[in-house]
Amino acid sequence: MIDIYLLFQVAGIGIIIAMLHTILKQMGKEDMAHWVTLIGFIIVLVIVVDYLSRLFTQIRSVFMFQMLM
Amino acid sequence: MPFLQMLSVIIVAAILIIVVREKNHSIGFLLTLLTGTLVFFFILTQIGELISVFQQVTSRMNVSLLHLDTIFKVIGVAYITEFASQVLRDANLASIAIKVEIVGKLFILLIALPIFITVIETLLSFIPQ
Repeated sequence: MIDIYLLFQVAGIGIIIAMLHTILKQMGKEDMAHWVTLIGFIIVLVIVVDYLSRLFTQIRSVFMFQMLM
Repeated sequence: MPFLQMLSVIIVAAILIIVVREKNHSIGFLLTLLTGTLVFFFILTQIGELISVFQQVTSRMNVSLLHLDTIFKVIGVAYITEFASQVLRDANLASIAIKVEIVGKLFILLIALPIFITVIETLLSFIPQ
């Protein structure tokens, strides 16, 4: 599989974001911790949405949708 | 063997999701979505080959290709609807999942309407005047 790399990437981003959140919370910077979580979420969201759009394009080509969607 | 390979990828993804979810719930959900997308990609390549085989067989048997296309579209809508509704169920949004299923059923009915009309016309032609 070529895309197993992506799973590890997303899981790694999640774990790193969680660590950063904990550390920033311990330092007393609550708002900063929330911004870090939000930015990490957005990065992962961009990756996932890219793959989802590729999936939908391929579904459209495989199942011969031209006019429907 | 691609099947066992895919299964091991899914198990690894499940372990990663369990690890990430307790730290960060939203990224865990996105990881679930990504796993579903990868599995669907894997299935889709196989289904493409299957569909091309079907098309070759029907072109050899001289059956009209319109209904076969309709059947493929219905299968595609069913797969996409199932995917979306399962994702929504994973995110604890069962009510929206049910609405997605209703929309999928309506679209299947809409796509299958030409076949339906053909069936009704054939039945009506059997009735003597």
